[in-house]
Formats: sequence, structure tokens, C-alpha cells
Amino acid sequence: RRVHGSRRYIQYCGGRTEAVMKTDICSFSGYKVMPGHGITFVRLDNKVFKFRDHRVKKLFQHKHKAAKFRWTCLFRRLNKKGSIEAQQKKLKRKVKKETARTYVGLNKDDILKVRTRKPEEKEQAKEIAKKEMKKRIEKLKALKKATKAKAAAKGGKQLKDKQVKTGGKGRQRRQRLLCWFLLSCCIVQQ
Amino acid sequence: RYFFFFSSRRRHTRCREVSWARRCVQETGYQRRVHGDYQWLKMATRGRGGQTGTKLKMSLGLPVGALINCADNTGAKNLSVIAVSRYGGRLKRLPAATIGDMILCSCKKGKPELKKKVLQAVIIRQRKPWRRLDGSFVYFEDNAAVIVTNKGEMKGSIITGPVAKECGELWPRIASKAPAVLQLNDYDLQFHSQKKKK
Repeated sequence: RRVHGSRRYIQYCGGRTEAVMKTDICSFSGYKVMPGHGITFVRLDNKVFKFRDHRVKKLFQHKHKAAKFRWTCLFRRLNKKGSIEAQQKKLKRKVKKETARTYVGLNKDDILKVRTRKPEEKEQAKEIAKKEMKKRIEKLKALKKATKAKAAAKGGKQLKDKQVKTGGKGRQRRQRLLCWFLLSCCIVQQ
Repeated sequence: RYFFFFSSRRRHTRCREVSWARRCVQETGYQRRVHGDYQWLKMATRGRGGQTGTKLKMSLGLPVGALINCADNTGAKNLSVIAVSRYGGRLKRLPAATIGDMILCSCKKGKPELKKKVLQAVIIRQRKPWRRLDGSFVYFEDNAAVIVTNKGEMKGSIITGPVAKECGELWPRIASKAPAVLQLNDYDLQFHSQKKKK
């Protein structure tokens, strides 16, 4: 396919246009009509009929009823043909397979194990994590107290103020880090 | 980018054209116009009475001698095509009109005031299927025209039945009198808005 001929036409067109090509449904047979296929008939009462092909168009013109033709969607719907299959198809949906990628420090299998844990196991793990966290927090508190005591011994309101200031956000951040650390520990342990 | 070469041989094969246009729009994102369209663009500069814009080449369904319905309330029932405005001509070829063409015609059935004289009309519907740019073919149930003055203003006040989009775009006076629904596709609506942007 040579290129240079068509370039001229595109110049005339003067720019890109995007269009969505919609598939229509044949108004006689009920099948899909792909873009560029079929023929459209506009009746005087403003009703639009789309026909998939000449055959179907002729049937319509001869005033045949779609419901009397066994192969049409309308017939099938009215006589309840094949609906069970359609339903089954809907039920037969692919079960999503759990997959995981390996990251540095975390193995694929370990991640999968954590993800596909049963709810009871999850709860157990949570409780363990909570306990661990409490321990750690208490440890930290102890450390804090110790540092405070030291600071008090050294003397100075400034240090106290500083600690008070960082109390809120810093504590939360530390707790968050702890949680993350603990969870990752749990994953690794398992 | 995937360009299609449109040779003179290919120009006359319909099915190729259709899929080419479709693919053209989808893959390359370029709107493709029929070669004849460029000719019409040239012609538009000459200025038609009352007509606005250009028209793509459509299948000519109404040659001289055709008897078509009059779709307005002027009192004429029939219109017999005598000539087609702005028709070039070829030896022994009957001038033929399509939707949006202005024709010279005479009324064969209807009010005596309208009979036995040459009238001007614009065709709003045709039975001959014509191809739209999205590749679809459309046709109406009957052939119909509305009587019109030199300047493109309608003589009647009401139009019965649908009006083709191609005609409505070209003749704003007719479009304004057209009933609620002009034959418009979703694609055409998109297309239409893009044209306006330009």
C-alpha cells in the first residue's frame, strides 16, 4: 500500500477527527450490525429501522413478522429459547486467580499467604500484632520516661516543651511505623 | 501510522470504500472524504441561492421526469422534476437530483394556482439509498420535496414527514420548519459538532 496518494486527501480534510463507531442492532433479526454494514430505512412516521442485510430488509418489506422466523432474536425471546444458556454464561465467570509479585525483602509466596489468609487466621494475627504493639509502645514509653528523667536531671524547661510539641504527630508516626514493622514481621514469620 | 492508498481503481469498489472509511477513522483518526466532495467544495464558492455550506456527493435518485411528493402545505400534491439546479451535464444523460438539490419542477396534481407553471423546490427525502460518511446507507420511504422561492425560503409553512439531515444542513430555512426529528445519527451528531468547531 503506497502512502503518498492518500496524504493529499488528508490535507484536504484538514485535521484529525475522531469518531466512535457504534454497532447497531438489526431491527428485524436482532443481530448486531457492524459499522459500515447494513442499511437504514427511515419511515415517514420518523421510525428508523436498521437491517443487517438485503435478505432481512426484503423480509421486512414483504411485511413479514420477525416473531415468525425461528432464527430471529425476537422469536427466541418470545418462545423462551436459549435463555438458560445465556444465564449459565453469565454465572460462568472466571474466578480471579490470586497472583503476587516478589519485592525486595518480601517473597511472592509469603505475600500470597498473607493475602489468602482465612478470616480466623487474620483475626489471630491481628491480635498478636496488637499485643506486640502494646509491648513496644510500653517500651517506648519507658524509654521516654527515662529520657525525660535524664532531661529533668540535666535541667531545662526547653527540653520538656520540645517533647510536648512533638508529642502528637511524632507519636502517631511512630505508632504507624510500628504497625507496619510488626505486620511485615508477621508476614515474614509466617 | 497506517495510511491507505486510494487508487482510481479502488475508488469504484463500494465495499472497499466502506471499510476504508471506517478503518481510516478508527485507526488513523483522520476523516476521509470522497474525492467528489472536493469538487463540491469548489462549487460552493460560486454561491447558491439560499443554500449554506457544501454537500457531499450522494446517490442521485431522482432524474428528470420523476414524480415526487410535495411535503408542505402549499396545496401541491405532486412535483414533476424538470431540471436540476447547478447540473453540469453529459451527452444523453438525464439530470438527476438528490437530497438537498434545488430542482425546477411543475405541479401535476393539486391546486390550480400552482399548476402549469415552473416552480422551484428542494428535495428533502429520497428512496434511493445513499451513503453517509460513517459507511451506513440510508433511505426514506418516499421521494419528497418542498416548494421554495429563489432565495431558498419555503413557500409553505409546514413540512410533513422527516427531513434528511443533509438537506437540513444545507437549507437552514427548511431545517427551521422541519418537524422535531431530523434524520440524525449519533455519529452524525459527533461529526456535526466537530464541523462546527472548525
